[in-house]
Amino acid sequence: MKREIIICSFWLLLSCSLSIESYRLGLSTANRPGPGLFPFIAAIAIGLIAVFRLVSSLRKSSPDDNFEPGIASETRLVLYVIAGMTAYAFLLDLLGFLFCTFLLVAFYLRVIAARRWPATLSFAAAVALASHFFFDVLLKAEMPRGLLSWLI
Amino acid sequence: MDTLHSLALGILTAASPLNLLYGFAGVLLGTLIGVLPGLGPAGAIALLLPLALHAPPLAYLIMLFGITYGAQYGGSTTSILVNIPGEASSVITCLDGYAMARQGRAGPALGIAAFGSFIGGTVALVGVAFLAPALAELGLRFGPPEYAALLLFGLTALVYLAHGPMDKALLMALFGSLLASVGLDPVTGQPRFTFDILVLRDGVGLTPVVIGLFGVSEVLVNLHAHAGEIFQKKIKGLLPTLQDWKDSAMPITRGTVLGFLVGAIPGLNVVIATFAAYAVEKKISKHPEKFGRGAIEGVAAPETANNAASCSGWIPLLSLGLPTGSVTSLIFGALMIHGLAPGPLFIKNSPDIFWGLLGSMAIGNAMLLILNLPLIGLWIRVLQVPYYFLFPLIILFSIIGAYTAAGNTGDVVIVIIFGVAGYLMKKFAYEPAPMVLGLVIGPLLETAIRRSLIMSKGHVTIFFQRPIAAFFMGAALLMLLSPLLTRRRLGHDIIEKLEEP
Repeated sequence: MKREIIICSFWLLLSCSLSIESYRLGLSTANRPGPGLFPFIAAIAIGLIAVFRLVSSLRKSSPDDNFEPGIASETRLVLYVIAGMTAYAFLLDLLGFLFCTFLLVAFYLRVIAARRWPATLSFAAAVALASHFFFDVLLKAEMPRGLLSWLI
Repeated sequence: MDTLHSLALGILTAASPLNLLYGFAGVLLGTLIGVLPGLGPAGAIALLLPLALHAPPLAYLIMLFGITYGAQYGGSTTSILVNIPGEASSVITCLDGYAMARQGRAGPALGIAAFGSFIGGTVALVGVAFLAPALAELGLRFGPPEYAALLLFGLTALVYLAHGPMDKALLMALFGSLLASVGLDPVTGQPRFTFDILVLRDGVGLTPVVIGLFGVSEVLVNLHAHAGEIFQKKIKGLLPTLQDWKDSAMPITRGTVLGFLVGAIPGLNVVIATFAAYAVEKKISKHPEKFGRGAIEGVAAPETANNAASCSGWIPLLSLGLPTGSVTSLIFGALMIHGLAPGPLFIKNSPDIFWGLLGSMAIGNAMLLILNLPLIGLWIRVLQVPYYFLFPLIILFSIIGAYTAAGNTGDVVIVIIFGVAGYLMKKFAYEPAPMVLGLVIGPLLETAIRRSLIMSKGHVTIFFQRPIAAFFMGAALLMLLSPLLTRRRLGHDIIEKLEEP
């Protein structure tokens, strides 16, 4: 039930903030629908459904959600994947496509998949070189070169 | 005759070397996606959306179409050999397909699945060729109120037939349409919900959202998944025997008709077609007790139905511009990227694309039949590639796809946000399809509603005064309000029963 309350609160918060912002944009002028009308209706509808779900879950008064077994380790893996992606996004321009790709794949294989160093490094190097060849050389996608711009 | 002539011309267009190459890449990639659990056709198409900017329109669309029906072929291979459905549409094939494999009849199961898919896909294709232009003619009578009502009907149908609670699906559809309103207002040009963030001025792009929802989130969900036991016996005798053909002829015929009809109805999908085909066969069989224990009819009917439904599922999109799910929404987006407006005028304005796509499906189905049976050994080997080698590649392609589409890291951040959102949605049982449909049709729906209201000087009665608009609005309202009156969704219990074989 706690989980449902948190989710419904998120929807309610979203509904309130977006309906206020939509109202500010203008709902209509002289029989012409304004830019805020459509999002206003959608935001209000979201709010109504969230209230309906909240009331239903409170009425049911079911026991607290069980803690899923293995959720902690799963969350850790998810956080690792997201951390790797975020670091990649912010370091791409600085370090360049080739180097970033190598680091990302090596990080995933070593930290998430717990592979040994030789397998990790060789697979990461192969993926980095193959993707550089495919995207940069073959497709001319102009990925950032970063630190290695003097070399490639 | 005109239709058959146009279809023949379409096949010739699709047979040009470039189109053949893209078509081949599409069906091969589609089969691979179907074989690999964890990345569906929607995810693959999402990852390939950025390529739209560089590839010729028809060839590119042929590839995307190839992925969708190629995945249906590939999904059956894993269902039969590993008891893991590569695609949701192959879940039901596991029951009898895997049982046949364990009895040493993996070959005939794979063979009848491939032949059934070919027959279902090809016959449905002819149906599309006749039905889509006729529906498009009807669509030409649509003004803004009719179009708004039709879009609303399509969105409501998807929400109504969603697997989980209807209110959750409705929340997702509304959230998707709210996302679509980020950026510049289509009528006045006024910025909306941009919060002075430069990336948001152009709106929330479909490409990074779907890459996050279908690519990254699938990885996050599947990190814990393990592969099942792979059927190790040597597979021989892929061609079904005469008895197998006798047993499968009618299930294939019924699967084709049922799949075609179910696929063409907005809101119903390929998965429902397979379960319905299986349920019908079990119901009318003289030996229902054999189902689940290796009955070839239990493979032939659903495998035929899924390809027929996958093919007829294009009718609402290509004739009326109405996407009906995640995959059709993505194809809708791909058409828009190429400046091809899906709608009643699509067939008239872009006949080369429409007939070329149908022609490519005929060729693609034949390609899959010829390719897939000899390549089964390869697909089994692909299944043995550990997931920890695959997921870094999916993540990498997701990032590169988003980056190359926009040329900046802003879209990569959107991919990450929607990757996490998609993961949470799966954990809390929120379906992504209504959200994607809301995002895709949101701007069209808003523009059509606003134009209608301008026409009527602000009176909403315009949606109920014109017969076609009134019909679609009535149907949409019935679907939305019926659960309040009957406490259940009409017909939904039938679908739920079908999905419990």
